Amino acid sequence: MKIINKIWNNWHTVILVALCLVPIIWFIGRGDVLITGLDTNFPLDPLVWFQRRFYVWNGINNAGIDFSSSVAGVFFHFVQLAPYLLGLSLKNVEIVSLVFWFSAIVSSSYLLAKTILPKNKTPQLIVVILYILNIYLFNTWENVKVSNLALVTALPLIISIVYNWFSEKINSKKAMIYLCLGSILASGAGINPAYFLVIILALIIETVVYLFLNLSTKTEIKKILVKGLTSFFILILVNIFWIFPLLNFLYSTNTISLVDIGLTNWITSLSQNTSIINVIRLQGAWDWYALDSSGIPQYLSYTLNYLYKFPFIIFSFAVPILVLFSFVFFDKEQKFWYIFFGILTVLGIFFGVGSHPPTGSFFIFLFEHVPFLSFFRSPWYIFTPLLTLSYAALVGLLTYSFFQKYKEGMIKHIFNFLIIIFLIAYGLYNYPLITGKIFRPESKNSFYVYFPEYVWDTKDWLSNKHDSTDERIISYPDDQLESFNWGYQGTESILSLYSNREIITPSFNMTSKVFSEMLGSFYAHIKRGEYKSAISLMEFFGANEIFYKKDSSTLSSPIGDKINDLVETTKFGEWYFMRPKDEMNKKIFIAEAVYKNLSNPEDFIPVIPFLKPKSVVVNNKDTEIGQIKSNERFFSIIKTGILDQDKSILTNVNKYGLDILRNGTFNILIERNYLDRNSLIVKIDSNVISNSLIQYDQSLISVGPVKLFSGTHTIEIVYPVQENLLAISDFENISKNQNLRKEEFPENIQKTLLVYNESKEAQKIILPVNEFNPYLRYAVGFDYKYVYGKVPFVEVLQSAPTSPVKNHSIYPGSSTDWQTRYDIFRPVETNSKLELLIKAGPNEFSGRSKSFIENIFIKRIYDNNVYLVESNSDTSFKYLSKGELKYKKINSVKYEVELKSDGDNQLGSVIAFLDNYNKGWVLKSSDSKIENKFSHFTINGYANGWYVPAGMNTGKFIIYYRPQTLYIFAVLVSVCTIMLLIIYSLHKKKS
Amino acid sequence: MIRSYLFKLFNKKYDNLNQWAIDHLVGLFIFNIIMSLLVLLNTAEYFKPFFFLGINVIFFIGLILSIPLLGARSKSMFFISIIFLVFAIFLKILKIEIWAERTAVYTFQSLLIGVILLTRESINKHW
Repeated sequence: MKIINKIWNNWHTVILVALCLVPIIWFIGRGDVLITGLDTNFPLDPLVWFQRRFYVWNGINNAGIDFSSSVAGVFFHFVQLAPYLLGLSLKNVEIVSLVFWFSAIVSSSYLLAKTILPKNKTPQLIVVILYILNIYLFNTWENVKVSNLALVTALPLIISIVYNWFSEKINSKKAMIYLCLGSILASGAGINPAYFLVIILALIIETVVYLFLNLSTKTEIKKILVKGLTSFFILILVNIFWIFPLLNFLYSTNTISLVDIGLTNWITSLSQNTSIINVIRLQGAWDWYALDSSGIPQYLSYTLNYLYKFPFIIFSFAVPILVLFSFVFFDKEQKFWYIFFGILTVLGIFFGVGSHPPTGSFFIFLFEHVPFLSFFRSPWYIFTPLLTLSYAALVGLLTYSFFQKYKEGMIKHIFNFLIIIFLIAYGLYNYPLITGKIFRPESKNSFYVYFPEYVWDTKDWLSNKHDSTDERIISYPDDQLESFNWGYQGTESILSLYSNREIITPSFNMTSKVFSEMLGSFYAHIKRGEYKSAISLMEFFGANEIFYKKDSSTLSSPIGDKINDLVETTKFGEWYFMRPKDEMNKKIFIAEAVYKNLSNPEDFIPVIPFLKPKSVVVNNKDTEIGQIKSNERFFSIIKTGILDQDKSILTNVNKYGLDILRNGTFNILIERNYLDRNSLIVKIDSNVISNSLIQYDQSLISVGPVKLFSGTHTIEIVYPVQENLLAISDFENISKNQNLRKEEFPENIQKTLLVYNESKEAQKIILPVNEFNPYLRYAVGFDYKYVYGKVPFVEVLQSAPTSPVKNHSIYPGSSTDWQTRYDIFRPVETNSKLELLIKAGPNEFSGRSKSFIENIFIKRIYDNNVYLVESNSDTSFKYLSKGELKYKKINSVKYEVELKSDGDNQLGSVIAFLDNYNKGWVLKSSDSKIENKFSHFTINGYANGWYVPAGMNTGKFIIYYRPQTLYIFAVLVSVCTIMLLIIYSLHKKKS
Repeated sequence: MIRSYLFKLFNKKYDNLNQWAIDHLVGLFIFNIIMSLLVLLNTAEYFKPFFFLGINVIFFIGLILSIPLLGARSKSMFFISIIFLVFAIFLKILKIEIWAERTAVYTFQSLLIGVILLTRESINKHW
């Protein structure tokens, strides 16, 4: 009885505790699943993820990237790590982590509610419920977004602490230590610094409003200003561990907009549905409005209710109406909160609307003219927490003013009853968040994922492999969105969720164009079955294993058995790890040959299979290369330019021109593109090259070596004559059955295709194509004459067994004289068939249409690129000291390198380090304390290379990412700040 | 009983309204003149293409002018805001989406002016 009484007396605490446990409901009856996928990235090994947060370079994905802002996630991942180290299963780790963040939001909003409305528990509860359950949070929880959660947690907490400090309800010691705690909770917002700036914005507004409403004496003003500034500095100093490295990164890369760091600016697309009416109802998420042609949501089935159902539409306005009423029933004693939350409401709506009219043009003006504002590329997601907080607080204030007015009597009971009804309705309105529907349980893209056993077997295998941290894996197939047929989807490789093995994988955010094109070239070779060429490209990535995911949902072609001649395979369920039998480059090595690319940075990629082992390619325009004495000895790579650009694309004779700067021995390399052996005639300056000098490799045809003098040269290549791949050449059977008089048919019914339609339905003629190869380009053309009625369309349709892949339409026009039309068709590189469709549109009012088409053709075109690669017939010729290199990876920012030159003291060495080029990477001798300034340049279009001059290329070296030192310094500042605050708060003044 | 109460209430409010109109006669006159002029300019698309004087702008100017000319206070603005939001709900239910959006814009404009006025009123009282 006592317990019941106790619970009854503390009913609001019971409700608060129950609210904290909402995440447990998400897992009830779901089995042994994890909530993960897409942006969620729940780590399958929290320790691995936690450790990565201590380095400002993350070398795991695609040759590494500066990780300065991501170190901000250290506290968030600590929350996952702690239960993991205690031995909890991953599912329980996830539950603990989710409950922690849910409880944090409940607690911080409750603290704010107590600050605003200290006397009445019901309004306090309303503030908490409105803040923790709202539509904005659907997306936050769906993706478990670190930045959003940190912002939503820290915002009410920091506002509450600062207000209590201003109004002297807590002393400075308490305020500072609480602010320190709030700043730690806010640190996760640094993953997307725009979220962190929202906290700063709220803090500034709070200080200014409080200052204006409490201007009395100079001392008072000074006091408030000092407290406001101290709060600001505590917030900054505690978070300096990620702010400082981030600022250093932005400064060193001259970044002032998203484009500078290779990120997509999607403000326009994200603002398409953020009209004011949607924003005030918190319904501005873009994926709510992704509907198919029949109006059915593509991603979130529950949005049907919100978009079309009457009760949901009505209730969506309930909170905004109550907010406006709260201003009408303005309580003078609470004027600070009314004004503060009023400003936050207005700003929340204005910024949330983004580039959508009518305020969008002003927002865009700010976006374009204020530096760094482009980082707020998803304004609705960033600023709406200001709105949700204001809504919760203002509705709380409204109920509070009613309770103050009607303390006794019948009206109070009626009011209590109405509040209960409202809260029940509110709970039902937010049912997807409470029940876990936000994780799309019934959808094929569900976030509830059950991982097959072989995923865990792979984890064990990868972690048990010795000395494998420096080895790279390249994944296949090539879909940017990794999607498995057992449910998991991710934007990064699944292996990175639990392994420290470095992975090369397609990505939406590639920092280097050359890297991206090189990866595209690797995948093209794999799809074409050119496995030897693909493996030679792997050397340029420093990769020595292919991760083939047979359980992927993809259109990409499967890898054929022929690859087994070149690789050894380890299999785990549907996953294959293929290791080339030949020894491969590691990510750090001494270059044995250096090629100078004289064309565009990416133009060397097709010739990689021809280049010598352990070679690197440098850019001729790189000023650092110009400073290396022996650079004149580097071999040249030249891409030739096609001559006579205006001639017909259907010719089989192409001429290429080039300028050579010095006499030398060269190989002419022609992209093979499935050309048969001995099918080419090659002429250099009108001299026919003997067939014995033409070698056909998988992806290249090599001509030479030939000696060429400096000056201009012409290469002429005669390709085989192209055949028409159209399976039909006689159209009589298609044309003859039409309901026309004899003289209305074309003169030559075999040669001319009659496109005739007299019905109200569309008619189509299908013409099959023979010997279609999806890896070639084609010219599709015809002669056309319009007679009357609707103009037909000619469609080139590429289709895989299960679905259409590409559709290319050619509009022939309405010329009544014969006219020739053609277009180029670039197929999607996947196993498929090709058809030509001629579509006669439906007629209106018993009309008819008629056109003639003849000479229809589909022929391959020869757009093969041709390159010149310099070589040397004298094998004893040396321009580099080769020697031996051993290295050890200490961590992702430090490598110990031991270099032993081959004894030739006259020659320098080029050291290749295949992480993405960044000025922050330095090579220094570990023997001397003085840092040697070795020439640092880009190799292979994306990676780091250093030239170590003669005489210095033996000894021990360190490759180090210098911004890590700044990070360590910044961490020390953060730690010292926290320690000082703790000491200050514990310190007792002697009386 | 109720009838006589309502009658008295109406008379009282009517008197208040009359008094208010007398107090703001000049303001009402200027306000109406400006609004009529703005609507005429809008109809004639006067400033196009340099500036589009749309109904949104006219409404916003009207709200601002109502402060000095009609003596509007923050509470009036919040009432206007509520009225437009209720109207937006009505339009939304009838699936007249474009008008509902436009009406919500007026709600936001009134809210914005209301918050500014509320701030000014509070600071003035404080000082």
